[in-house]
Amino acid sequence: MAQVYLPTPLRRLTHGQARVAAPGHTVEEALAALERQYPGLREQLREPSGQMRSFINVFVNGTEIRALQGPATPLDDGDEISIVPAMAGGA
Amino acid sequence: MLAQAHAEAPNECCGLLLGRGDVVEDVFPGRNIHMSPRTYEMDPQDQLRAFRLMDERGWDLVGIYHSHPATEAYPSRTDRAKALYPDARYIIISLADPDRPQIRAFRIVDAAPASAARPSDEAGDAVKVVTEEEVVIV
Repeated sequence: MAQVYLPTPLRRLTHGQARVAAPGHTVEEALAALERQYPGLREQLREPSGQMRSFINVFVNGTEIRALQGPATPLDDGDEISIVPAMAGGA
Repeated sequence: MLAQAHAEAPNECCGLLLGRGDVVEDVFPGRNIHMSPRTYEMDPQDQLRAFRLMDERGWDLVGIYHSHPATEAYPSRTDRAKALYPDARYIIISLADPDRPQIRAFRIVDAAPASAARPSDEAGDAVKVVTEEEVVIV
């Protein structure tokens, strides 16, 4: 099982939990499992097409998955996935 | 925050205020990966480092700050559209008058719960509600 870290804006969907366990051999599988477990999470993370939203950054053990194999990035037991919504804006 | 805003001008700077409740214990400067005078996006690696530090110390995310090098200290349309942290305060440092910088803090939240149909403005952005909060420097 991978451990998934969620920052405050997403914790209202996980009953306040910052870390939850998710089964899956890839990031995609683990996120899909979480989305089934916590209603509303999918809408926060993905476009209606199922693509991850551009402003959601996903890390595995501290490396952004765009620099790995994206959603197909394989997971080992104990890996940590972090979901980090962007902090952005402009004048 | 002010020193960083001046140092990174004319680009926008950004960072986090960490602490407990609404009391700031530490300033965590971030890198603006856009390196732009008009937009900012905090390096996600910096965000992750800050979140780990918060976990270690039992701290909350008190605020997210950024500078407006040439405009007023009020959330712009882009600031409102891209605000994803309703529990944090958005702090804006204006250097429009570099000798008299302004610091103001705001909450930026969705006008309707995420589960309800969101009202949209003419550009299709979800409507956000902006409320100002007092900044006390101690």
